[in-house]
Amino acid sequence: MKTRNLVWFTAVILTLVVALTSLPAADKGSGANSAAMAAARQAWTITDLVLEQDIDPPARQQMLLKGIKSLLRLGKTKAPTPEQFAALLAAIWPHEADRRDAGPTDQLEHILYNGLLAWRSGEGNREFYLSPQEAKRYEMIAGNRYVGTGIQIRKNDKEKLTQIVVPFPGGPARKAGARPGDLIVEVDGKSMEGVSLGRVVERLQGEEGTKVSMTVRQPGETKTRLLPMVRSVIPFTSVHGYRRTGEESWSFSVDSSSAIRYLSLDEIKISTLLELRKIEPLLRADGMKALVLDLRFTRGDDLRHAALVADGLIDGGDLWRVRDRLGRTKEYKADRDCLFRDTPIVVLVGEYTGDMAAIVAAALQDRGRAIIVGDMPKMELTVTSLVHLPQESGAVLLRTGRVERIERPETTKEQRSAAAENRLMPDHLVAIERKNLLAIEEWMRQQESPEPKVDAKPPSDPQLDKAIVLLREAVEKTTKKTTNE
Amino acid sequence: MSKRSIGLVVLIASIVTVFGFQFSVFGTSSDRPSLSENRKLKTENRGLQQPVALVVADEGRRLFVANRRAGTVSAIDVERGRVFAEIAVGKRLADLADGGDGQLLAIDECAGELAVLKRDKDSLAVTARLQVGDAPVSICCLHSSRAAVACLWPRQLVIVDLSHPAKPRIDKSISLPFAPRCQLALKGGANIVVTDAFGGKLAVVDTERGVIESVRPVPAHNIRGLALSADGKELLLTQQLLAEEMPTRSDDIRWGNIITNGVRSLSVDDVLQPHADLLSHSRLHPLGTFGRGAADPAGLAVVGDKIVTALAGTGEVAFGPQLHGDWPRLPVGRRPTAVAHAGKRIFVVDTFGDTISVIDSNKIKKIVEISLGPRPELTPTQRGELLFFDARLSVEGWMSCHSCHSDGHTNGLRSDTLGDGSYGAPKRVPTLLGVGHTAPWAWNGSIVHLEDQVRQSIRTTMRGPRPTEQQVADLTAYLQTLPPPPHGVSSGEAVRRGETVFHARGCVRCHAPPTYTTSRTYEVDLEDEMGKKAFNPPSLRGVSHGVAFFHDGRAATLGEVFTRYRHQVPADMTRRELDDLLAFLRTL
Repeated sequence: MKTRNLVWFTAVILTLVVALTSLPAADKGSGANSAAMAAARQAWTITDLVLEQDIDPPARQQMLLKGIKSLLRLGKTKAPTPEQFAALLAAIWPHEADRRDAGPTDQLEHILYNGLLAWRSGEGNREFYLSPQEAKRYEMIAGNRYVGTGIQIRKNDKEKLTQIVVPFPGGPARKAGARPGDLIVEVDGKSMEGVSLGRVVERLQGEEGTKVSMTVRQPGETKTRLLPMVRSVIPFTSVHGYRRTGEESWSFSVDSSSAIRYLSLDEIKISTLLELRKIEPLLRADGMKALVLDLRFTRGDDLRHAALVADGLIDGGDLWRVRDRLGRTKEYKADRDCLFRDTPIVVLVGEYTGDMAAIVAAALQDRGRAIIVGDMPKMELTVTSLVHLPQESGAVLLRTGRVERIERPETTKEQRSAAAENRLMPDHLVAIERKNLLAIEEWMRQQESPEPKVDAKPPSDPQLDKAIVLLREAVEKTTKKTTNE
Repeated sequence: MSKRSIGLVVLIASIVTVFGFQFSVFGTSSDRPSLSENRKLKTENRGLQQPVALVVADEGRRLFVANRRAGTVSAIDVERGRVFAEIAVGKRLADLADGGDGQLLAIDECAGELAVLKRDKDSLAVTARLQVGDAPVSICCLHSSRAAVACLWPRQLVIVDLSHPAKPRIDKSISLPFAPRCQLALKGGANIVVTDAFGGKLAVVDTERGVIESVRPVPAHNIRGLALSADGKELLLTQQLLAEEMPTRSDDIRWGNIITNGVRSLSVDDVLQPHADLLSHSRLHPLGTFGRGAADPAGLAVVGDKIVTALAGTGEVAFGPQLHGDWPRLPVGRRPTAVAHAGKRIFVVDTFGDTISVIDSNKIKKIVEISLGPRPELTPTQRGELLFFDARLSVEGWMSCHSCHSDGHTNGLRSDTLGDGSYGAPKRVPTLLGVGHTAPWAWNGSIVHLEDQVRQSIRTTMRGPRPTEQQVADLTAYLQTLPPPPHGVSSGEAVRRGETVFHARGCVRCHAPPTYTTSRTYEVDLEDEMGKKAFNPPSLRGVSHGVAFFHDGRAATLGEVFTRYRHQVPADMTRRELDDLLAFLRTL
């Protein structure tokens, strides 16, 4: 074991000892103290033995942590006071000299705070603590007012350069002439060869209205192009058609023989309702008689925005209710305004449908507004809120409520039980191979590029095919009804 | 006649006009002005004229404009781009309509009068007057020489018989279940659509029988313009929509998630069918986009296939409908409120700019801007009034103070602002009428200075740029001039008994006259969603004009406050005591 660690963990234990001995005598008396002292000595001896004799010993801190965790898990132990916790942290906190390769203080803090919130299992590698800068960035993205050059980048290892995957339509880079595949040779005249992705991002980031220039070239070419640009707000659209036909134009048609139109939501976010409102007249003018709403890859975080979208699509009635930690419920309702009124809708859902999209789909099902087709999404249905820490010292993402469905009476038995368990059972379960699903996702990703391949053929999609069959039937029925009248 | 002698006649005629006016304009009410005049009215600190309505005549060659603050009607020669006559008509004009046969109908909000004006080539004169009731705010001509006048606070629609223009008379009065503002005649005036001045109700009235055929709600507030589509099948209305549950965060405002400004279309067939679902064929065209709000859509006109609407909050006119993106706009001044047209020419009234803009609707270009008079130096109160209706106070022009506090009153809705210290418990938008006398402010009574409330609302509700100290002072000065809503009818035995109940039952402890509020907060068995229980009692002055009650608007009527929510109702209170109390409260 390195000397530094030894010093560190001696300090931990010393602090623990100090902390434990400083417990007020009235608290279970000195008996508890002396038992703890004896246990600490014995624990130390055990770890000594492991370190000396085990063939593959863990670090002492890991063992101590495991031991304490086991004790805490019992539930009988007391939580330390803030002072005791502070003393413990002070003891294990690396000294200034030791910190050289331990990273800046904020990094340690970051690890600690995220560790505190790591009990939220099953949510991937998501971080729940945000530093002040991260909180600012989070809000910027959540507000769909991201400031930058408007590019998606990746590392091109062969060329040792950063490569532009998508220069987003309407973004400063695209306006300056950036093209998909461009390699970033220089930023503001400084070579970017061998520079890490993170550093390139750092160089490109800046305040709104500031200038930045990129020198780029296409792979395999030597001719470079200088792209001067001004960083600006780039609102990212979340509502897309089926096939991009130009920088700002889409084809919404999935089925040339009928008037079925298609929209996919990349995300349910702050701008989605306004985007849907603005796209509706376009689809109506385009002769839409039925609509596929593809939510199979729809991300989203904010229940309020999901409520706006569901409300936008539903003509009055309940959406869902949210139960808070005290068991109080709040019902969300739709007003009478309704987008795509009188237009039959099929919603596509699947394994990758995000929570917010799933709850929107569930509300559309519960109110009989749409037929749900696809695979059953995983639904967590918690309300996540960004809660700011005092004095603008960052923020934490907390679960502040649980969403409950308000089922409609005429649902099938299966749907009722799914609703009771807060799952979403599609009206038509249509399985799809993973390979196929990924090809569909790739197709959607390609459509984000301002220069889509015009002759590209969309992948086969049994779920979309089912949607088209159902909507054709629905359109036929409406046409017959109108003719009869 | 030689050219020279023609010139002489014109000169003499204009001198006569000038002097004629000097003698007539400020006549007493028994000696009403009836002569034409020039436009030089009182010049000493007259403030803005505030044009609010216009009538287009002679195929767009002439315009007649009602000036709210000046109380005058201006006559404009469009070709020459100038006012050729201005006549004093009343104290505060609210609307102007074309009565046919060279007649104009003006209504005076302050005097409660309808004035009939006769116009001929060069002159304007008041020929008759009629008391129509308190606070008339709009007039709409019907067929067979009749007109409907909407009276705001009394909630009345008054049908006036004008078959003898010299002696107009009231044909009938119809009580409405809401305070009315806009009107539009349907079926040649056999029916009339009347809309809510503050909230989103819409009534259809049979004007011949004097019967309300339907009253239906629309998701809307601040309905400020009505028009028929080119094919006559759709009723178009300008409106706003407030998302009551959405916290007023800046980003959400910027993406149109808090206030939606827009033009709604309703099927005229549905409107005329009393039992039809009004919204089953309704569509809302949202105005504004990220970075550019379109606050307070107001006057509306249909010009060919275009819908033209004034955006009163941003000082623009928008032209739609538009398949792609936001409607194109044209800046036209400070607060455009009314729009009219003749052929392809559009006329826009700028209430706070004292101008009329003439616009070519094909090119979406301003042809000329006609001034109604010299631009006066404004007092702080007058500047405050301009700010109150100015959406530049908000983030990217999405709302003005008026967007929620409609004309200083309330849209009757809730909003989730930081006014109560936190999000999560939307609160009813309070009226600002009489606000200068009801310190402290905010539902929790935490704000001692009205200036602080102004600052707080601009920064955390409207999310606008930091206001200057002068802006805050001006707005505060304006708010302090807003009188409480008018008293209700205050006679009768029940009222007198109700007053006794009010005192005897201790209502006065929290709602003490003359403002009928007190400065402390009280726990009165109410709790908001965030667990707050102490509220500063709202003033009961003008309480009968409220559209929702309690901090969260849970009571829809004043009666419900007691019958459904038992607000401080002692167990031994009799039904009669309660009725008396209500009678008294309605007089406040």
